[in-house]
Amino acid sequence: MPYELPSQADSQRISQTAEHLIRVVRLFGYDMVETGLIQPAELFMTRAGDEIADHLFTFERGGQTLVLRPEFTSAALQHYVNMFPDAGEVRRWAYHGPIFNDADDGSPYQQTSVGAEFLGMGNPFADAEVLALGLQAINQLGIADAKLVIGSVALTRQSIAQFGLDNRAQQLLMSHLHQVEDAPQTTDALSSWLSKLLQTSLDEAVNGEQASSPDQTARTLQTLLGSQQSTAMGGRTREEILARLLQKRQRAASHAEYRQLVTFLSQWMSVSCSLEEAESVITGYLGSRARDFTEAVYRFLSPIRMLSDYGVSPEQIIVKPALSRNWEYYSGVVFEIQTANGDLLAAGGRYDTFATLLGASGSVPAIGIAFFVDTVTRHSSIEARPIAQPITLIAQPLHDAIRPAAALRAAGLDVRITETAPTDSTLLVAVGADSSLTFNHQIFPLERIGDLAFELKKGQA
Amino acid sequence: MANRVMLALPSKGAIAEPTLSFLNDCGLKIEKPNPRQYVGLMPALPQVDVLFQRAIDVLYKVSDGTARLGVTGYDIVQEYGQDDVIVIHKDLRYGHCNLVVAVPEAWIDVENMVDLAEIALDLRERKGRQMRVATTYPNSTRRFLHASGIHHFTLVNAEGAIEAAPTIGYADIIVDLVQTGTTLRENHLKPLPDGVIIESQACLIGNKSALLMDEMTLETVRMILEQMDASMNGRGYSQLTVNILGESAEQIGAQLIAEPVTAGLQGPTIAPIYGSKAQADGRKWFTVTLIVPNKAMPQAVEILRRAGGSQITSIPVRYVYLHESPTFAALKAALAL
Repeated sequence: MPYELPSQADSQRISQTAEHLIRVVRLFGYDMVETGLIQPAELFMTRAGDEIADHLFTFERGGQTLVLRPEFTSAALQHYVNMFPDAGEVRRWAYHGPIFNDADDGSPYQQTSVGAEFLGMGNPFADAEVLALGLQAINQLGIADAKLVIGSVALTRQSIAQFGLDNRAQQLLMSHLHQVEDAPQTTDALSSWLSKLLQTSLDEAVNGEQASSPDQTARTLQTLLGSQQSTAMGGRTREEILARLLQKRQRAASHAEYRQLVTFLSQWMSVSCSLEEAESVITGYLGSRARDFTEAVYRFLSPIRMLSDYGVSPEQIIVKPALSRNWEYYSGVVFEIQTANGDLLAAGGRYDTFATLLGASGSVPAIGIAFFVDTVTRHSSIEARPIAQPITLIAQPLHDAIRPAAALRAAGLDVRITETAPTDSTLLVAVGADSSLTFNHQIFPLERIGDLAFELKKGQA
Repeated sequence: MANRVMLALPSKGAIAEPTLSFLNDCGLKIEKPNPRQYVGLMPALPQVDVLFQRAIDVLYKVSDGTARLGVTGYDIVQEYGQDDVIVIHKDLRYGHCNLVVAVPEAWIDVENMVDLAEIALDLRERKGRQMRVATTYPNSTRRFLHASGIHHFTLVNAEGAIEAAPTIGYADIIVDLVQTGTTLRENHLKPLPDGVIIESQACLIGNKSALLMDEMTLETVRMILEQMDASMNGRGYSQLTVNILGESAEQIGAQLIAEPVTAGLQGPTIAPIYGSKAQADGRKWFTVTLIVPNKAMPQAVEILRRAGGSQITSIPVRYVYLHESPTFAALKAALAL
């Protein structure tokens, strides 16, 4: 949906909200950084990649594909990687500006975002700080029903790994979880997806019901591929096709375990509890495997527990370990700050491994948060500041007003110059041919401009 | 344009001739006074002017209001959907084809869209490039691939001979319209069973503003839909006439109504046969006329025989007009009229 210019009052409120959010992140020691509005598409499409890549505004210039930035994190981290290729430096960076989203779901193409990235520190303290500044910023805007919903990609990934899925299948499943999260029948949706993942009808056709050795299957398939007259290979070699077919066959061999995985995930995705009961609920779901997850559970819950030191009420926290976000590079805690009706006010997470995709030699500990300023403004109970009535100097010719306007501006007043009186509400000052100034039937010579400024300030008040 | 309604029809392509044939069957024959010109008439509805355009231009002409109604492919409407265009009748039952995702037959490891999502990841991570998809349907393709969890692909614009793209080497897979699948097979491609993006056939579209604001357009649509619905309903029925020896019209009627197959649309019409004399047991000959679904014809004949029927004749029904055209009722609901 094209950007609709907000009214003056709404513009004022959006600006005030952004100013407030920036003030809070600055109070936590974050430095404002600028990232370009136009970025190389490569940054978002090939290397980072996720649902963000689906909704990019792209265009070509000089043989390069460019995009209007859909978010700030990628560019900020790229900047960090360029500055500190060996990592190790702790940086707190914040940003503010428009982001763009070419979605066809009716959401606006352009939104305002304020965000912060805590780079170079990977411990629970960093997580807690980002969560705390997010909640503090939202709470101060009087949004009474805001809740922090928090999960852990690391914990979910580790729990999936227990069922013997290979890395690629884990990766596919993790990105699929976000799609089925809101499906009415999570179990059915997961079963259907997994049955496709494990589909090996060719293998069954070749071997019948009798499973043969991998070598036998490989020979059969080589013969099969060799006999094909087709030249349409779609950029893949026969060896690649064969290797993947064998991998699929191995996957399918553990079919029974995947049924258990569906059962586990269906339950895991439904977990939603308070911080107080989180540890017992999570270990309860993990059952006999819980001992293997002690460290991961501790790592997940310890920053959330620290929030009480920041004055955050436990009532405001919902622990939902399987929460998934739409970026595939999240690697640790993920969170959303949302209203009771589910409107997203802010969101973020830890993304330590992302830097390797941007050219870093190793992981860079990183966690970030992005506030959706337009939504936050809509829910904020903060009233717009009254707009000071503007002052208009009316002069013919216009340049007669230049010197008095400069003097009034020096006195701290906002002044505009016109030839005729404007129709909107304003404080009018007529400039005479002798540079005298008339306001409210009082005449002020130029040398008494200080008195005029005093009267105008009274008028504005 | 005042007091006239422009109907845009496809001038060439797979649905051009079938559209004229379909309208003819509906009693809405199109006359084209000059075969070299792109205009025509619909004598059954004199207020209708006909404009022949390419199938995609039918959509644009209806969108910009040049034409108020049009017949085109549903795949085109889905791909290039315009804000002011509404689909009035989605299933005209001809011009069937599917927009499908097809991969090389040699990809014996790829059986569904989940496999394809993995291939896209493989290409990106192992070969450092995106999966290339040749299509002339970029919008529908993009939406479908995203919904299938595939985010890393490049759409390759192609005009004609898309099926050859994986062989020539400028694309890995294709998304294209398929009618019988023969062209795919000849090019060593296979459709993915869960890769059907659009199930398409010919459809009737209209300009929403014109339908909302112009009574004559709406009335013309009503009359067109009456004919279309009646014709399509008629295809499924036959009229049976049978002579039955029975005690009375009431007795025969009750016997036939008891069976859903011979109950007709409202019940059978029963009349005494002129000049027939009562039998020794008091029974007389009656003629029964009723409408029967074609698919239930064998059962109907058996029931009529058991009821004492003979000399059964059947004629096809061309039109079945209901109380109101169901498609027009649905259109009014969609337009909140």
